[in-house]
Amino acid sequence: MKLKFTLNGEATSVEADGEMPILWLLRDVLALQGTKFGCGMGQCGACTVHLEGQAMRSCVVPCQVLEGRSLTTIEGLGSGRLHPLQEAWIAEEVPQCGYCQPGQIMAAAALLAREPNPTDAMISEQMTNLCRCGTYPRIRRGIHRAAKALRDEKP
Amino acid sequence: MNHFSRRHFLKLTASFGAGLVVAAAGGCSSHVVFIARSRTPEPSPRDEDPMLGWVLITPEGDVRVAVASSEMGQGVYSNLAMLVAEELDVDFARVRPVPAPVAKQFSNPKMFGGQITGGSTSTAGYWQPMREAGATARALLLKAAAARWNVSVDQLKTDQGQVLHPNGKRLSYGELAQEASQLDPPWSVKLKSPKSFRLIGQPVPRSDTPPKTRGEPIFGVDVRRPNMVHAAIRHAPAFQGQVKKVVNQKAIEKRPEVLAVIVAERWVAVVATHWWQAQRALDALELVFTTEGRPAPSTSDQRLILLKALDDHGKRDLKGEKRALDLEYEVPFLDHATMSPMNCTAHVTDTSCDVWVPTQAQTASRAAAAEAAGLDSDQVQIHTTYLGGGFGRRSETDFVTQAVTIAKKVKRPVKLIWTRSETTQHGAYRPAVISRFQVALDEENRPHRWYNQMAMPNIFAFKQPKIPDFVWGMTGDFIGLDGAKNPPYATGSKDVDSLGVDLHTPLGYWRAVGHSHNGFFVECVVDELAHLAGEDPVAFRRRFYDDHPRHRAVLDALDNLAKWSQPRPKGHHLGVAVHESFGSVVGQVVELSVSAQKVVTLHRIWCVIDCGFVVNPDTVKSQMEGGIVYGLSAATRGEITLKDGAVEQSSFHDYPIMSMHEIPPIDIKILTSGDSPTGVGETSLPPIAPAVANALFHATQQRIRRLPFSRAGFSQWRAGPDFS
Repeated sequence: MKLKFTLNGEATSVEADGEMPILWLLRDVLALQGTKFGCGMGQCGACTVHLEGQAMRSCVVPCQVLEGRSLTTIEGLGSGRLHPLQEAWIAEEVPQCGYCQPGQIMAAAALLAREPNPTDAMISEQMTNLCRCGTYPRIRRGIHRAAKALRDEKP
Repeated sequence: MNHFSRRHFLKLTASFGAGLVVAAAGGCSSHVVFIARSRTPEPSPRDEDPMLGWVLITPEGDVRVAVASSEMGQGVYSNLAMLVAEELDVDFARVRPVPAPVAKQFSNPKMFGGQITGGSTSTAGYWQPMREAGATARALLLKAAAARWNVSVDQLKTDQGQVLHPNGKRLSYGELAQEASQLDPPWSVKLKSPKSFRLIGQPVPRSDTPPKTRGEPIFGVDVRRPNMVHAAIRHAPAFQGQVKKVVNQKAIEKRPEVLAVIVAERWVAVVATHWWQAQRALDALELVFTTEGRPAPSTSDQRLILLKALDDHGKRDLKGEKRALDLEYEVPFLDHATMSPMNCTAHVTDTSCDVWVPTQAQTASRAAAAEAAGLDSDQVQIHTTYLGGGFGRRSETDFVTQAVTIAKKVKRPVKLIWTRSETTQHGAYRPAVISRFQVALDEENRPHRWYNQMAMPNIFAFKQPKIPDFVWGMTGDFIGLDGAKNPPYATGSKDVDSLGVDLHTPLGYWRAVGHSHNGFFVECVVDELAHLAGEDPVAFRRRFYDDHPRHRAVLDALDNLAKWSQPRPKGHHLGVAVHESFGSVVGQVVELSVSAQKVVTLHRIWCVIDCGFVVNPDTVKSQMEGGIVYGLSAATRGEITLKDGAVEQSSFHDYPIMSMHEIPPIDIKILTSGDSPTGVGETSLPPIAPAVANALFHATQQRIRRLPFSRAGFSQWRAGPDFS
């Protein structure tokens, strides 16, 4: 099928099998490889993207749902400059192997969009992406740092 | 440049741009010979050109450093580049680490048999040669400047990428690189005194961090080659299983997107235009597997085999001992569960084989690729990508053999990616172990008899089946015994040995290897002894550290850091463990509480490491955090079980790992000792399981001697509410 949707702010048109998960459309058809394949079952979150601003695990969602909608991937998160989360990730030296981190950042960005000042309990409850390297303490610090930066930015 | 030999190497002239290349031939730090390469004034070297020397300086003054270890999260690209940058005296922002190709000079001096990232040896192993490479390059640049200015070398200084003349003139390294590359290198170089280090010892930001926040680094699954196709794979479920029949192969091959169905003895692969299509076609294949005539064990049988081995061996007589332990500890098989599934990309022609692979074992990967391609190893080029986790799993070469086998058949570049369930079910597992302890305390509460007999499959024997059994009879399973052999507490009669048992299950090196279970066993047994003696667990341990000053320093620091003796809130309990591995000593204290429903709350973890001379304290801290979390996943819930010769788990729902809400604050202190680095990457894992087990005992009076804790009903974990 012919799919028309907005990808990282730009109108996109692509020919694809509508059943192909969004993850594989991104990776193999559109060559956007920041979104990672971890489990293919929606369990680990390495493939997290934003569909209409909501965090979503792209490995289990067929790409036909994209029609007419807006999708954001790690490549489009910063809109011209780094997202405060990416800056915070750098300041806290969060990544180890780095494989899960695009998904972690996308999940955290969706959390901050909902909740500009998340408590530790909210982070515990809502950051469900897995990290095998064990960067959780730094992810937590990174979210707090980015949240503060975003609050300070606002007049 | 697929071909490499020493002769060729020495004669080699420019093939990748202008500049100075410093190469260390040999790879053993005591026999390092440095050679400068002459370069023609070509454009700057390309990213894909293999580095054959350690250091390359471009005319623009950019520095590339070949890094022979694989970057799997431990920060080794940055840390090894720091060693060169320190001695070269250059702005670290101008230094870029580049994965080294397979070549003799890049072998890890601390790992026999070539280029391999393991045993927590990267920083310790390359500490000397990479500083020497930096110092040699600097010496050549000074010599070139001295010739240009017609002054003696000792009148000159360097400063962050420039050579300084006494009268204030300056030349950049880039301006001097061409001339320096023509000079003979010195036979020996003087290294900096640690007092004058500017980078080493500082929490230098990792160069791979910013790109990793943007999703840019190329992991194995991200490799793209012109004309590339994709492969999906399914193994016979049982380890000893084989493919008996492919019922509908022709029908699947007729699908327009399918390029090939490849049937091997133990697996079937489908090649298609996109990976998802390949996987869908593979799912549609009707496959019949068989294990006929071959062992197909289940976990319950395997336990009985381990216990029988111990019973057949018999027990020591502890008659007459007033206070003694006579008990067994036990751990299950474990999978690495790397975040990125197994994968490999290969392109095979009649005369060459290129492999892009996230590997911890470049030399072994080259050999595996050569065998599968039917080529000589010097016709094989290994391109190391970033690793989406390693932990030992990527020191195997099964996925390399498969990718090359498939690529040879389809005559195009092929990227093979396993599913999560294939990755979980066809791993290289940490052995299941049952360890029997018979330990007796004397009148002064010292363990004067320490008998420890372990039944376990032998990893090294599994990897090297040609080694005859009598060798193992003489040496014991020295890898499986790592960390059990010489406990500081065994002050009298001691017998620690292994019984090799074949459980017909593939084995591998899993983070901390033998230490991963022996840290748990020994540090829990010591806690049981302290209890038997009626002594405080920290004070009891300290009594045996008189001859172990690093243990003593770590324990004392831990005592202070965790404020061990201070009262805790009601219901909170502490557990402690100290373990030496890979040349370093790590101690941890855990504070937890347990609800009536057996929900365990982890309030805080304290960790102290002595890892010798510290190169980057921040990456040491990261590794401490990572090893603790990895060890907690295993201790709390990690278990691979078998039924009819096949693994029962398939993904994170039935082989779960720790998540955000379960990890408490982790306070880390780093101690330094000596003048060279010791291991880091694996060392924080061994103490965490015993520290938690010991705290659980103090909280519940229940001794858990068999992992994971979920088996004893502790299946819900969470972090304490205070994250400050």
